[in-house]
Amino acid sequence: MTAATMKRPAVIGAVLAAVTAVWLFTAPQYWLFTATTGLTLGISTLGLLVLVGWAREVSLAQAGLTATAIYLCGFAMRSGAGWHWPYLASAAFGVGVVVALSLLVSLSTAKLSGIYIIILTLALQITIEKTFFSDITLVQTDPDHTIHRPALFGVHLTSDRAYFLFALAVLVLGMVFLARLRASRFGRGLILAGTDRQAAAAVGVSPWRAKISAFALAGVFAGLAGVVTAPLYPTPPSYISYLSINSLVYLAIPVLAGFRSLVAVAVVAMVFSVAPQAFEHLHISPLLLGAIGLLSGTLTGPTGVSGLVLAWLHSRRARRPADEDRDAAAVDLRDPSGGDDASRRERHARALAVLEAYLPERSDAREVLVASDVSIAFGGLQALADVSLTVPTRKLVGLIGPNGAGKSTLFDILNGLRQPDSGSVLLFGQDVSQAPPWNRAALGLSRTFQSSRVNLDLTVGENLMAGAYLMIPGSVAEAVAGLPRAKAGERRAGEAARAVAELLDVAGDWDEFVRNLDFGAQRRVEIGRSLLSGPRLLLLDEPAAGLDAAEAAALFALVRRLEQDLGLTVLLVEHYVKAVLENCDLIYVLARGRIIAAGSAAEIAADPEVRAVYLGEDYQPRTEERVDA
Amino acid sequence: MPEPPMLELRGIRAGYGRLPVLFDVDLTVGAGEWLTVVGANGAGRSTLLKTILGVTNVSAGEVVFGGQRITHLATYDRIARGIAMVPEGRRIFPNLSVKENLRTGANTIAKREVAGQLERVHEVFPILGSRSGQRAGSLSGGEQQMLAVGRALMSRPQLLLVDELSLGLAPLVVATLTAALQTLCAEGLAVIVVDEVHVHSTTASASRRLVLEKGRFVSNPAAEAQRLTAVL
Amino acid sequence: MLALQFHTQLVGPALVLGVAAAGLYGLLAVSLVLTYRVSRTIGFVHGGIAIFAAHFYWWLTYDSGVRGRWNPSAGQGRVGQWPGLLVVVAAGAVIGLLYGLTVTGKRMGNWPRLNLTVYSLAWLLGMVAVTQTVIEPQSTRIPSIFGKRVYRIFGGVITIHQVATLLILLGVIAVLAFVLLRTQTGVNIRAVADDVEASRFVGVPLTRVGAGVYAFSAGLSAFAGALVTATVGMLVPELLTVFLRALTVCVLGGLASFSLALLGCVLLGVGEACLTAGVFGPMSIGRQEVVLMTALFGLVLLINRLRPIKVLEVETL
Repeated sequence: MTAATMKRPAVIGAVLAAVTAVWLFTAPQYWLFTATTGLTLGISTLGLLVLVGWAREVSLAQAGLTATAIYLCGFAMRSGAGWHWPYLASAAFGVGVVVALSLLVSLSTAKLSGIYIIILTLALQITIEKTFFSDITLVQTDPDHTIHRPALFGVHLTSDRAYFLFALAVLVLGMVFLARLRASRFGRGLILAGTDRQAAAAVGVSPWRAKISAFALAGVFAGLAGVVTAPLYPTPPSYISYLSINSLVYLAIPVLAGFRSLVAVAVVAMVFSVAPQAFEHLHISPLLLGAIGLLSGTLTGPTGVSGLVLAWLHSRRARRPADEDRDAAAVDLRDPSGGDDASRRERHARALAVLEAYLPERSDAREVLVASDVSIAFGGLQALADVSLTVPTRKLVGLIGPNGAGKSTLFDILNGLRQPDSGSVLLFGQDVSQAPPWNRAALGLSRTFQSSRVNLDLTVGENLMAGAYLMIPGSVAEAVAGLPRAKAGERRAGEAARAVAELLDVAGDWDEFVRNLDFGAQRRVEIGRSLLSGPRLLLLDEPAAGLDAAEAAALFALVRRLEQDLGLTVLLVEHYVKAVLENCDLIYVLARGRIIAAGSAAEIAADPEVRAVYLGEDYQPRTEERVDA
Repeated sequence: MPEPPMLELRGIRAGYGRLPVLFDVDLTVGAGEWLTVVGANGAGRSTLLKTILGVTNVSAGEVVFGGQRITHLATYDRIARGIAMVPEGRRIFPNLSVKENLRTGANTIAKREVAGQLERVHEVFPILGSRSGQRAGSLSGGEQQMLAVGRALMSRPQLLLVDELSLGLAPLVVATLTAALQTLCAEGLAVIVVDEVHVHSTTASASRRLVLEKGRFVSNPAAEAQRLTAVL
Repeated sequence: MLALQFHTQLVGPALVLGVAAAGLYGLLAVSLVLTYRVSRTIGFVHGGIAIFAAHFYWWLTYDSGVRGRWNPSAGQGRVGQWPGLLVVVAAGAVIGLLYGLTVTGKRMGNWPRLNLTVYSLAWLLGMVAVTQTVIEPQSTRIPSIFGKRVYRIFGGVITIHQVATLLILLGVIAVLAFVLLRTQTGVNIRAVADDVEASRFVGVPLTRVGAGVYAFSAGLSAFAGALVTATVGMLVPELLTVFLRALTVCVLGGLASFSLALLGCVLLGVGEACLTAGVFGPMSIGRQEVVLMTALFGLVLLINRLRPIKVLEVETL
């Protein structure tokens, strides 16, 4: 997060704090209760933001889970039928059960399609209604055994004002935690997994772990909201506000607020709590607010209302005229000799040095990637038949062939996104045939896709940093607490990201949303992201698609330079045959699922079958010296 | 000057979202003409066809068909007027039978004419007749492509748009397809085939060839024939 | 506490009851599978339509207009039962038509599935909100439109309501099978279910097909909603439970298979009946729920384990 994006919520927060302080000492009691309820709703829906806004999963159980924590915590605290435990122990119990339920749901359906998980959460909600809500001992208590306000760290929370501040403190702590998480590699990884599972897997993030973590976090926040609500009233609250239909209202809050802003979620939650009370004469049902929220959310997109506000503010900032600079940048890219811009070359050299220091040393096996007799059939079609391919270390290898030959399918198998029917894949000498993509990424394999898989709602900088997941050390705790190891790792990754942006000529667009960039720039951002995962082997799937011949040549020159200067090995799929023949050390030709030729450029150009199937009989390779950077 | 061209694109600018894919594209095609448009992946080949069919929105320029402006006409209506498309990758309906697949192409013609059109398609591709009840997903690649073309022919088009005719097909199958299309051309059907650069079998049958590069037609197509394989 | 008993003499009647009860779930299941196949999203809107229909049916046929009082005998409401049912089904179909038109229009046709699912949830919530604001929910059941007769088969007691619902379901299935397999409309629907984009390319009238499918499904859901007032009542939590059960059994076939969904309905009906009748010994309602849900989901997960995922899918919902 840049300084600019951090300042705004801080300013809003300060304003809100001032307003709150004034109101706190002047408002009547029932307003305090309503506002406290609004705070707990905010805590619960913050958890839902992680799930819906970041990980893009729908849960219909958040209200029920919150209520579970309320009743269980309250039960544990009460004397008489309860266990008469101290508050913290009861709270831990409440949160623990809720998290266990969330994990149960997510673990059983993580690898299945989303329809299962959404229905299972609805089932969980309804099961909660039929079990916990129907249990008299949980939802009711007699006047002799009410719940007393606890004392925390010596502070008695008996007064409603004190309790309000306690709830506020929990909300603010939760927001700070999530803000820190969002700024760390875990938050970025979660968001990437929510946007595009395959891209996340290619960069080293396990989408299943991300999904399960998101559910666990949602559970934690639901539990927290519940245990903060439990001591608010002397008797347990009615379950009527925690039914399945209310879970939908909970869902509406992060959907309406948008995934970028934590403050917006708290604000919307407060509005949802306060409005029905404030406008009582209008009979505004929370259900109606929820419906409007969900509807607006679908129309505004994942960025929600806060996204609209931020976009409006963003467009008012002074911006350089976009087109001129883009043309200038394009010229730069096409003219690698730099022309009169010696400083540009110097910047590039420095960027290369930073990137080289960033990339780790991997085993220098002679053959980086060996695929043997890979075959796969689907849809009644033999997509690949006995494909064998070897990528020697520190070489630029090209894979060409007509559309539909199976090149992307082969990449999917090399990358681990698809399992072949037979055959094996060796990476740096290790058999990775059964390994998932994120494990292959950890070994040093990185991949881009035919259609750009960048997150359009994030900036260039955020997209690039998402690629550094594997390269930043530290656990979640270290990242959130800002401990030295994680902090140093983030700094290193940030420098490397800026270096990559410099090399790929998107440095000027660091704070620009990717959806505003042209197609070629978007592809370069994706290549940059894959570089940041610390690869030793890069698989590039049609990196020059959508570029004209000159731009494609420039991109190839850049790839060649990365290969030579950084010691990378690159396997790429391309249709720009001239560029491939000029730049690649080794070329494979794939047609209708089979490798029909392999060898140097001269051998390929002369191969009769290749000419018949792909290049054409009258193909004449022009003899030109290799374009080296 | 003979009759006006069947299809005219004037100054077309089209694309997805905020950034256009096609810039200032002009094109004319007459009856019985076979035009091949080649270009690299991402150059805008499919977008060109989708613009003619009305699936992609046009932000500037006009599409004129049979002398009438159809720039903002819905896809269904354009098909009713005589444009049909064979999509990239065939896209036949795998769970429907061959005959049912053909019938999906017949939504714009009158019910009583469906049987007659089926006959005609069976004449062009006899194999479709013999496999009429078979599940389309179990056909071979070449048969699926024939089915896709046959499906497009059901609406009695005057202009046929084909996206990558030879994708993943054996040369013999491609030859059969091009022969069939040539016969139809001779009967007055206009054909636009878009394909990637290195597939020469389809361009050989074309009466005209254009090159699309990054959303624009390259200005001198004749000279391009030489430059093409050299550049790319 | 965890021991399960088994009373064989109760199985027979439970089976009969179960098959009879499957009718209602079947109506909802057909509606859900139909819209899923055409849109690849879960039709939560149907839950809203069913809830709306239940309230509207009560309001038309039984609400005497005096607050807090309703008349138990038929024909004392604003309209008779059969005209009321017709109006309710028509209203449901209209709502479905509106929903279908918005969802299959060109603009929304390209939305990601998560958006469409949230949109569907928005309609569910909205319909419940509007319905409850205008019509006050009652906690009692409404006598069946089909009368009060009961039949005894194999020791089980089933009502004419259940028999009628089952027969209607069978009729709907027959009509649907005919339309899907023998008409041009059916061919179009199945084409859209296979490949929406290609359907647009070849001239299938997408808006007409989509809106029509949604209107028909919504009519079915409204019908189910009106009928369920006789067995379950009008309260939203109960109605949502019924809707969830129907949704769960559809998932047996991945929401795309009619036959598996209907099989699931029978299994569900039988399972429910067995639990309530005490085939596995006396059980609290809560425990029944847990057992039923676990069994259903266990079955769903088992079936999906048999279909191993060979590729990391891109889109989730």
